[in-house]
Amino acid sequence: MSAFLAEFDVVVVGGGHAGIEASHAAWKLGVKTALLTMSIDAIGRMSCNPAVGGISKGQIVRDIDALGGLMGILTDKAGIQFRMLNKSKGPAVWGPRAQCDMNYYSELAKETMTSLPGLSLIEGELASFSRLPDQRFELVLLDGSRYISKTFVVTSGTFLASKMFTGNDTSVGGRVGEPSSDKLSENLISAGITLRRLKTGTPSRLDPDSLDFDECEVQHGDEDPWSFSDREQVPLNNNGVCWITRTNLKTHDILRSGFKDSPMFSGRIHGKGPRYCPSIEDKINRFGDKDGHQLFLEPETRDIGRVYVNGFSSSLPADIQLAALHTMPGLTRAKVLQIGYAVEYDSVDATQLNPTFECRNYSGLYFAGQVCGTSGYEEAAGQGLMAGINAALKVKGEEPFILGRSESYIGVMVDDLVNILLDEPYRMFTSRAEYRLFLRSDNAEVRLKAKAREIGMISDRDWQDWIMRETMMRDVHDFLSKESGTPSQVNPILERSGQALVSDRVRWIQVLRRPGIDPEAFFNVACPDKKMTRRDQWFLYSEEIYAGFFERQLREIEHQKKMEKIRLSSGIDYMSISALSFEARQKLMARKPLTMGQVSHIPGVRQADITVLAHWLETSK
Amino acid sequence: MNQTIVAPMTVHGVSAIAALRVSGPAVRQVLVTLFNNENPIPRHAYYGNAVDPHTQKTIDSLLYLFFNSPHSYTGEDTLELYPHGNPLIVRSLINVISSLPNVRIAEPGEFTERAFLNGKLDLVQAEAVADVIHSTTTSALENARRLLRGKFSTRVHELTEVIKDLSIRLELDVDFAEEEVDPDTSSWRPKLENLHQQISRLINDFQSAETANHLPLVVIYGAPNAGKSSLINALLEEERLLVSSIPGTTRDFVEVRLLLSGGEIRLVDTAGISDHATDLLDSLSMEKSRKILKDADLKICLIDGSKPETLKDAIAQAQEENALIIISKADLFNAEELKNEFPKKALFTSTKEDVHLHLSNLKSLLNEKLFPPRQIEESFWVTSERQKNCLKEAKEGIEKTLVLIDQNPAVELIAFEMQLVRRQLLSITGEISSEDILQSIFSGFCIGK
Repeated sequence: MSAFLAEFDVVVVGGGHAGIEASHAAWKLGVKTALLTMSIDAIGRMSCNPAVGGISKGQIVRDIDALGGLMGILTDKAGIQFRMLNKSKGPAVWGPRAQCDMNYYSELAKETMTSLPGLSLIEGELASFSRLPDQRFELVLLDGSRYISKTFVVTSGTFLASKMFTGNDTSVGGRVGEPSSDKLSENLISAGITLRRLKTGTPSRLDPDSLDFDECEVQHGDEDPWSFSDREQVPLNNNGVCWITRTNLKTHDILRSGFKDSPMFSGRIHGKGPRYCPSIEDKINRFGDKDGHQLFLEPETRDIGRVYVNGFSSSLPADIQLAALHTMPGLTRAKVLQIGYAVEYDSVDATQLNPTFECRNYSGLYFAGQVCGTSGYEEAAGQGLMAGINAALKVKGEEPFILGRSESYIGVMVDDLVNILLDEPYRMFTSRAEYRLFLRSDNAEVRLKAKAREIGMISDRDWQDWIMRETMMRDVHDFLSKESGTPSQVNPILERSGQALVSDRVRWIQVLRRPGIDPEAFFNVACPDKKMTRRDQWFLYSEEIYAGFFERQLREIEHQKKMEKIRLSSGIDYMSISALSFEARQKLMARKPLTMGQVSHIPGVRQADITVLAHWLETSK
Repeated sequence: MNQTIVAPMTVHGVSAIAALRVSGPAVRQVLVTLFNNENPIPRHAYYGNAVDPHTQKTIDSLLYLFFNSPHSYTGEDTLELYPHGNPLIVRSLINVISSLPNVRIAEPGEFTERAFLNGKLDLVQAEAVADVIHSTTTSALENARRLLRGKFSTRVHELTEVIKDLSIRLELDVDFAEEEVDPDTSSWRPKLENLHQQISRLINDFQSAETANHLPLVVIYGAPNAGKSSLINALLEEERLLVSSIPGTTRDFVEVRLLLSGGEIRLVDTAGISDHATDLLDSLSMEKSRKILKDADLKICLIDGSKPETLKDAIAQAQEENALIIISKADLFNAEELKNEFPKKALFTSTKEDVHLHLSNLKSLLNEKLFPPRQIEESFWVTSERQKNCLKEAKEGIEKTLVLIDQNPAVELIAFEMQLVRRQLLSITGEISSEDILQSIFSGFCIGK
């Protein structure tokens, strides 16, 4: 038996978006951390579309940033086109999104990880793991090298026992040109971890020189772009453009002619794919009556090395895909650099995990990211961050760090993942959040900064910056509540938003509450000398327009928080609580929830069961 | 341990047959212990000897039925026993059954509670079970039956479906802004207005079970010897089986229960006092009479028709007192003549001639006055305060939404209100809002940029 190469507190297996955040967070919390990746060059690679953020996903990135994670800053630096989605609606549902230079993003991520003093980067593939008598793990790589770690976090993405499909062609691997991690999958099964097959897909990448962009509609970035992070004040590159084209009946006919060779329709792929991100053949199959589907042509890099066809993910035979592409405006001469394919992979049934992402029945082993059954870089990064933090806190013997549903989209996601048995890859939507009016991109710091500071995720400098911003916001709020504006100051603002004008002085705060006010213009008039970030101006505005709604939800949130504080011992024999419905007894036995808050989100557990359980806890004290 | 419960279903006392129910996982054990029946066929009527396992003596020969889970009232294994209605037998059976391991005597309402917890009844239905048992008017009983059959629950589901459809469009607009999907905003207002109208109707039709089951109080008064007791005796005679005399409801009056076609009523005869009043007692009794007359839902002033000299004044006074006037002893005078003199104001009775006709006229008049048909817009009405409050909250939420739509604000606020309205409606039937909005979005709209 060869000697161990090194001993760690936390080893993160996988260098994708979850792995980056996990290893960075564990490193930041001061434990001895290693990032194990099949290829150091593949760190932070964007496997699918070259963009970060979107509605609800953008809020996750903002939360990651407020918690001290990396994704926000990386996106600000690598972004080439920034847009705020849902801008015509209220700020609660705004979703920041950025097209990125995917190569630069990956390069930046690699640079960041290699520059963290004390973080070990190991190139290799985990083949097997086993528990030592002292409860630590022995990790054996494919090349035979051995490591010891107190905990390890598996962020393997789509790389567990993965297969790729294009028409009748099948190959092994989790991404074009990269291998599959089959040994680890087998090892997990023998450790008693339940795995499930899922499927995802990716569209073709085209050669820009073969495209006629003149025939497509152009989409530009916002005139006044929003950054994801306020920490480094990165100047945003916003010159990138996307193009829009659409499918037509001819496209659909050609695609249909390939259905017989589709690995999806023929049943060769068993994994369930996401319904919110269907392949083009799925769209035609299910919504065939539409005369066309919009497609976005997105540059993968600043110099437009390749073009990603958003909305055209497919696993039909290559010749069919190509012929179908050629029917669309701008694509008649399109040359394919990489054909679309489907990936089928093993994921972990996340209901086996605690909200810390640690396996309930295998302590010290954590999972995060796409391997937990999610899709999306942002969802993966959010999980990686939380898993990394919790693995480090466990090593340090500190309390776990769990966000509630009323605190962050990350909290909503964690709660959903560990409680709901997914039947398709999970993606975040704002409608998953009961408290979405609270979970805004403008209040990420307000919600999370202090919590993150407490566990050590926030540097002194960031914390000082935030305290200054917070103090200024308080100061401005006091000013607006006390001071009033003259009609000549106020009326131009009201006029612009179509509001009734005033003839007397009016409290500034009353003006801010009027619907349709432009907060930036407002603050320029109300208190031009009080320097606030644009984000904080919008925060003050949001707080006013949503105030009435918060009040009505507050009691509910208080109740939910109280429920989340009621701890449930893992030794409770739910089967013996006769008044619980049978379904609830089974679900509770299987899930062993940590808190009452968690109980209320287990599907199949009804209000009546919660009442019974609360009563039972009360009497059994 | 998972407890099995047992209780009699019939009231305590002697009767031809009594009924007992046992529910829970130990039911099969009970069958083995009492009847040595190891493989009971569900819903099969067995006749057998129930044997006390301690003494090996037969307790009773009786009929019993087994219902297997989940096909029973409670959703659990259930046993129903029909012994002879001797309280000693019932007690022995309860003792033997409840002495088995993990079996105990049920708390009041526990069978229905289990039916609810096991998903056999929703909250509205569980609440209606009590209404069905306790309704004292035929219309309340009919209503309770409709509630138990799920009429209101179905209605609630229909209303929530409308909200759900709106929510789907709102969420579509929020979460899939980049997609080419049409949230169809123009349909929101008419849909909400219609919903508002429907919920308002349900609220307007509300009548609490308490109100519905209030026993109407009818008080008969009149001069001594006007024939009050004779009238009540005649009513009692006519309804021998359905009327009981309940002495001393108040020590001073005679009260009887009378079952009219619309429901049960309390009939009080003030005869006890006024006929035997002395000077000393007079003031006291007058006070008591006044009080009960004040509480009456209907006052009947009985006037002796055979005394024409006082008739006119007596009638005028009774009219002033807002009483139903009954002129007695119609056999002793020319009723037709009087009828012409006091058209439509009075009812003429006699307990000597045409008794049946007179009484049935009186009863239908009482029925008409005490049980007027409810003017409702639905085929049922809501009886629980809790349910009404949920409806009210939902209605207010819709009103807020309509105001929001007028102001043309951000769609997330309308969605917020809809979420609360939906939750209020679902809490009527005790369901947790199952967030199947996204499911519906995926199956109904082509998503996927």
